[in-house]
Amino acid sequence: VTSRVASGSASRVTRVTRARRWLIFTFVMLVASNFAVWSLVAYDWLTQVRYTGSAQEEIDARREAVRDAPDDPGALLALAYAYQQTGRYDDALFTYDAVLDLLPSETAALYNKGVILLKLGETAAAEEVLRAALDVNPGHALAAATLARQLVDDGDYEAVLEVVLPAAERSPGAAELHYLAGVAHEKLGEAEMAAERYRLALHHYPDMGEAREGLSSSRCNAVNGRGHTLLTRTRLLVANMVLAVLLVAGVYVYVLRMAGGGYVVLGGDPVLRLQPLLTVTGPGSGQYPEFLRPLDAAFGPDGEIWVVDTGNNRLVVLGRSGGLIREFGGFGVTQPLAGSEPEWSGGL
Amino acid sequence: MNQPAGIDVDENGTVYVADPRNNHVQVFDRGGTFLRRFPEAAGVPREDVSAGTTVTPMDVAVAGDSVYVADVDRLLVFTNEGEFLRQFGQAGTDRVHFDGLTGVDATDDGRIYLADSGNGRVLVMEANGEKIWSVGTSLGQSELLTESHTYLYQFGLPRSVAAMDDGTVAVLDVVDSTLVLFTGEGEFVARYGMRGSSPAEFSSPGGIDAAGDVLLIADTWNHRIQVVEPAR
Repeated sequence: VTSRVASGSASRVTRVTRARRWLIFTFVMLVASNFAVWSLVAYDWLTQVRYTGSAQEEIDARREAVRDAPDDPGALLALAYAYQQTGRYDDALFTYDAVLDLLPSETAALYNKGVILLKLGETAAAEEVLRAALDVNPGHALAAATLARQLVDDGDYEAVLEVVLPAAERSPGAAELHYLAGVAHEKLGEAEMAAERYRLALHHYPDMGEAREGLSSSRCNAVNGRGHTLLTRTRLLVANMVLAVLLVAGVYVYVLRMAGGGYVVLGGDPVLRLQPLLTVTGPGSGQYPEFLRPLDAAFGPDGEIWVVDTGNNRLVVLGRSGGLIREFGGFGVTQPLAGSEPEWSGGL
Repeated sequence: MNQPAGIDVDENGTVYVADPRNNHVQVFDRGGTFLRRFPEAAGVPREDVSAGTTVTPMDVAVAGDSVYVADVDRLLVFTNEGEFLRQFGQAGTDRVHFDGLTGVDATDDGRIYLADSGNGRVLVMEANGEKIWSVGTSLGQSELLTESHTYLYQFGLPRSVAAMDDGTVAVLDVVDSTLVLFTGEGEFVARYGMRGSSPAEFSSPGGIDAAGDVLLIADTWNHRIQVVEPAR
């Protein structure tokens, strides 16, 4: 009896591992194919010609506004932001500095300057302006979060808490700040406090996946003292389903782009139009008044129109204005004789 | 006729019809009287067309004394009377081969225009078969672009081609349902039309001819013909 039970449970274990192995295999395959399809789409998208006309117009309009009111920091700020949005970071930095000359404590200018400096990789300068923004307004949640993220990257978790906690006190609704505080606490080994912060983040922003993950890992840390990184079957199953949907979407997008002709590298002048002069759908009379799948057509020497009406196995001759002149032919697989009269004639 | 696929008319009004399922070109006078067909004998192996062979003409073009027949993977040249002169190309996907010739046009100066649809390109050549230029490649053939006089354009599937009086080359793309114009030197000019059933829209158009500035298009799956003029 014992052996039977033992072998039964052993086979169940094998089945479980096999199912799991299969899931992992599917997961890997789906990741690979998703990567392939989406990189095709991305390549396609990146290599197509893009127009920045509207962004340029926006910048011109805002520049005009600055010219009209050179001492208006609001106009300067708007122009600087337009530069920043279009990736012209040098112009944006210059303009933000102009704003700061007028209003040295303009936190929006300081914060955006910090964001740009971070993008340009000048982390020390960025941290400095972000701190300046926080000196003016310690509750500036965006500045605090941006600075804290940078500090997390630097690994300076004490400094993260110094920045984030006062800001979170003043802007308690900013889930991001609670989350970053949670990260810092967790890294400093304060699992309980981390969990508390993650819970606060989720309270203000229930869909914040990072905080949810942080919460579960910090809980684990609190209980086990180590993170759990095992892929559960349910998670794998869900991931597989999501990836499969992504794959289908990727293929769909790719095919759509290809079939839609969006792949054309050369652009035409959009003003160009095809002028429709004449449309004829058939001889209009006779046994077959309509064309069926006409595959080719040709002009005759006097401008008459010859139509190969493929589906009806006939030739139709139309005048210049589309009126029926003659039709002839018919289905046949036998060999006609040279010089013979047409056997079948409809219409006229 | 059994599902005829292509047509051209010479300056006397003599009509040449490509009848692929009957494996020959039929010739009629302008009144519709049957004159002749060629190649005369059907059902002979296609290796030696001069001895009479099975051809599957997808399109036909007549210029001067020559009749050009697009026969899937080769181009056959006959006299007006149907006497075989020569052939170009063989099956394949590289630059000297054809893969599904579906459209041919020819001009009196001896230039031949081919829609090599399986290879996704349009090819213009001299009467002796020497390439003048080509445009487009099928996917995975981008190495062809390194060749001289090969221009970049991604066709859906070029089905038919016609040369206009000023040398402009008009190409019908059956997959994109568009009309694309190139200069006589192969430079892209413009792309017109889209899939649809309104005037100047197409649904998988199969054939094209030109007269002056005007184009005649067999708008196959809209079951109609259209005459259009590209505004330039």
